[in-house]
Amino acid sequence: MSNIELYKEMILKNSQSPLNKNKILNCTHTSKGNNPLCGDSVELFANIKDKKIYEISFLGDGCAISIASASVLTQILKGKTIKQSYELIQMFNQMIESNIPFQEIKYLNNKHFELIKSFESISNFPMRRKCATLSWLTLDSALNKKKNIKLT
Amino acid sequence: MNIKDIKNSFPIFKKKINGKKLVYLDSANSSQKPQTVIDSLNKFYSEDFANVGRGIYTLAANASEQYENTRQELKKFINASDKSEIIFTKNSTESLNLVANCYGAKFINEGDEIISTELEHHANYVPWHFLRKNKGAIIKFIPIDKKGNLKLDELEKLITNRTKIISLTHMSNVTGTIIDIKKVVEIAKKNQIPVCVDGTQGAAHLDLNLKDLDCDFYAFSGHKMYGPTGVGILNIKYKWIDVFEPYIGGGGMIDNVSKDNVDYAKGAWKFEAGTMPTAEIIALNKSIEFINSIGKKNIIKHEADLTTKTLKELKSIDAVELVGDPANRGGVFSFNIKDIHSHDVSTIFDSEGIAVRGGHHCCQILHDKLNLNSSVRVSFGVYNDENDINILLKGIEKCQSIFKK
Repeated sequence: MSNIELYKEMILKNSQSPLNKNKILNCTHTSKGNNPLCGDSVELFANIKDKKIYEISFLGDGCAISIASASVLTQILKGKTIKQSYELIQMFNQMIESNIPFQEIKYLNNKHFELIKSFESISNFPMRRKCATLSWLTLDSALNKKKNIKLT
Repeated sequence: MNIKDIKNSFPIFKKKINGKKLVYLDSANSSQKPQTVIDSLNKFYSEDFANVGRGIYTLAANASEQYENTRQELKKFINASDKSEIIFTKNSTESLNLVANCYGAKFINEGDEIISTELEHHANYVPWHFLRKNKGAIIKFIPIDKKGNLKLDELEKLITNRTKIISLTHMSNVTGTIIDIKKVVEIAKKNQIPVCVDGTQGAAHLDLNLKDLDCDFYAFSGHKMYGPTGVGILNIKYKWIDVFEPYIGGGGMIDNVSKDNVDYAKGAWKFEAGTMPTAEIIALNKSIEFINSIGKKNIIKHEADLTTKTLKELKSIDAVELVGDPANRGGVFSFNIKDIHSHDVSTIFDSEGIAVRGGHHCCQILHDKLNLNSSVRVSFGVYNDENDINILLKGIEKCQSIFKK
């Protein structure tokens, strides 16, 4: 597979014009993540009420994959329950780290499903997997009220 | 020199990467290995293997002789004063750790000052940080300007009566900046401060004459000079060998051992405990032979020509932003393509067979100073040619076309 397969249109679009790239002041949940190997960093902000994410955003500095992944994450997780969020985080990580295809689920609309699927080929590039998972793992630690994570 | 013949002596260039010819532009990270070096490793294990040291049987004696031959050839290669001042370590990093550890243990106390620079690789920063953390030492940095030139004029202002050592790179692994070590040593001598040089980039790419440089410590590694991994070198002025306590203890570094005392070996051997990377050290001799057969001066000129040509091309591309542009430089430089992250550039380059390094190249202080998250680094070796530059330029075009908005 050519490396260029990584740069699907949806990934490029989300990296060049990311959505929800801003800081939520006084949010209920936040966490910072960084990848010491490459210097990518991301900070997640979420407001959670009644076990539901009703507001979510990020700030970050990194490669196209890491920024696109954070942008897509915020679009998809907004409005999801905590339980659904954990499930999506796990499925996304399994898709990237273990090449397990992402299955359709009821609470994920078609557009969001396609957004996630655009990251599927990254599992074929071990050196770039962590670029994709950084923001998802950072959200996981925010939900768990952990302040910082480091991928190694 | 005939680049085609040189390239042919490196078997890796027969390999295709993603269906493309390998364009290896990462020699500052580690260089590729000529067949003679690879053959030497194979020969030693197949025909000559025995441990070095005290065995008096034929194989052991031969192995010891070959091992010491490399030390002798290294002495000539860097024009050191004496082979007993050449210590074998694991890598440059270990050589620098040895200095920081042994020197720090004896001479650095709370409030004492270490002078370094903003150009340093983490290998010449973290070991000194340990002394800051564990002993309360202070690290001061000679600043750089926007072009990556070291502001050497600042050095004298940084020196106080608490300055205990100056430790700095010979050549930056990011901007390619070459530091005038002779001038540093001259200033340091006036103030009776020892100088430690990280020569990791210098050893293969600069003309070395340690007698002339006259620094106290010079650290470098074999794998960046077309030799095997696992071998570092520390050239150390003899007076420090006697003053320093050993770095690690064990077999080989002793003269005499009894229940109540241990006498250490004299010279470099005091710092070489346990079985060393014998095959690698022996094969390193072949890499010295390789460099000498082409001539260091020819290599330096070749790399300088390639650098000048490439930089001229890069400066004509609007979207390319160079990381510094120092006046005195070696065959290493870094850049960014506007709005494209260095890792994305590296990935797209890889699809064209181009091997470069993306990231901060273990120089976060330098990247912070220049307000950069990361950069793409190109570094030349003796095997690179103009065709490599052309493919690099095409790679840049490809990045731009994929990321066009």
